[in-house]
Amino acid sequence: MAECTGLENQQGLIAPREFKSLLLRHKHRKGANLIEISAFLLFSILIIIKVILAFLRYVITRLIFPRVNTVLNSPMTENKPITSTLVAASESVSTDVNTTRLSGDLAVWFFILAEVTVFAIFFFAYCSMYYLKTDMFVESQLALHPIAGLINTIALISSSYLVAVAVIYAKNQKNSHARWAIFASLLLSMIYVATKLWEYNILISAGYGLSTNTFFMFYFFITGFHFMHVLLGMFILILVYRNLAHPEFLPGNINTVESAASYWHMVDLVWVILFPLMYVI
Amino acid sequence: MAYGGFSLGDLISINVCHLAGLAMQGKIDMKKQITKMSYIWLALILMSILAFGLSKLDLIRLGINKSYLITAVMLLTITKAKLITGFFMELNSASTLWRRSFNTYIVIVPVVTALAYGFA
Repeated sequence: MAECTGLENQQGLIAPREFKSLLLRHKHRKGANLIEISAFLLFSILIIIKVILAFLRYVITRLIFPRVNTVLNSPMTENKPITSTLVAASESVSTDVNTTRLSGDLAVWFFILAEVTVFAIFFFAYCSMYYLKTDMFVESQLALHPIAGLINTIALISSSYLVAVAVIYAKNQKNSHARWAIFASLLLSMIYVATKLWEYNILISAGYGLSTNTFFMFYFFITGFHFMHVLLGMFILILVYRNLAHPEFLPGNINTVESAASYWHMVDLVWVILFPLMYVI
Repeated sequence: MAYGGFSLGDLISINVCHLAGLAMQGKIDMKKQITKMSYIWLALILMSILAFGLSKLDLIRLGINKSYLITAVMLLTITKAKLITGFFMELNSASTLWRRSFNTYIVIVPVVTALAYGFA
C-alpha cells in the first residue's frame, strides 16, 4: 500500500514515498551546493581583494609617498633642545587648530583601511546569508550568550578609552601615566579574551562548531578572526608599554604610540558593529 | 648689562614665566581632553546598554514592529562608530578624504545590515 504523497493531484498517479523523499533530498542538496559554492567564491574574492590591497598599500607607502612618511617622522626624530620643542609646541597649539593631521603612520592607516574592508565583506556575506536563511539564523542565535557579548563590548570600549587617554598622556610626555593607562587597557582586553574563550568553550561543549550550520560557520569564523586581531593588538600594546619605560622613547616616537592606538580603536570599531549583528538583533 | 631698559635677568625670567605658563596651559588642555574622552566613553557605554536593553524587549506584547528596533539599534551603532572614529581615532582632525572614507564605512555597513534584517 503506497501512502498519499500529494503528487497524485498534479500527475494523477500515486508516487512511492521514497521517490518524493529522494526528489526533495536532491533539491535540498542542490540548494546546499549553491550556498557552499557561493560562500567559497566569496571567500576567494575576499582573499584576492586582501592581496591586492596589501600590494597597493606597499606601492603607495613605499613608492608613491615615501616622502610623506619621512616628513611625518622627521620633526620627531630630531634631537632638539627642550626650549625650542616647547616653543614649537606652543606655536603649533595656536596654529594647528585649522590644520589636518592623521594620528599615526600613513602605512598603518592603509593597513586599517584594508582590515575594515575585509570585515565589511564578512558582514555583507553574513547579512546576505541571514536574508536567505532567516529561520535558521534566528534559531541558532538563541544558543549565543548576549550577556557575554555585552561584557565584551564594555571591556573593549573601556580599553579603547584608556588607550586614547594614554595617547593624551604620551603627547604631554607623561610616560608613567601613559604606561598605567595602557596596563589597565591590557587588563580589560584580558577580560574580553577570557569571556570569549568561555563562550567558545560553552558552545563547543554543547556540540556547536564550524560545520554545524551556516550561522555557526560565520559566527566562529568572524569572531575568531576578530579574536586574532585582539591578540595582535594586545601584543602591540605590550610592546608600546615596554618601550614607554624608557624616558627617551617619547619625544621621537609619539607616532608609534598613535599608530598602536589607532589599530586598537579599529579592533573596537569592528566589535561595535559585530555586537548588534550577532547578539542584539 | 641692560638692553633698552631690560636686563638679562629680566629676559630669562620672562622666558621662564612663558615656559611655565605654557606647561600650565598644556596641563589644563590635557585635563580638558581627558574629561572630553571620559564623557565620550560614558556615552558609548550607555548606548551599548541601551541597545542591549532594546533587544530584550518583548516586541509582540508591546505591539512594536521589529523594523523600529532594527532602525534604533543601527542608529545607535552608527553614533557609537562615529564617536570612536571621530574622537578616539582622532579622525575629526584628519583630512577630509580619510574622514569621509570612514564615515562611509560606518554608515554603509549598518544600513546594509538593517536592510537585510528588515527585509528578511
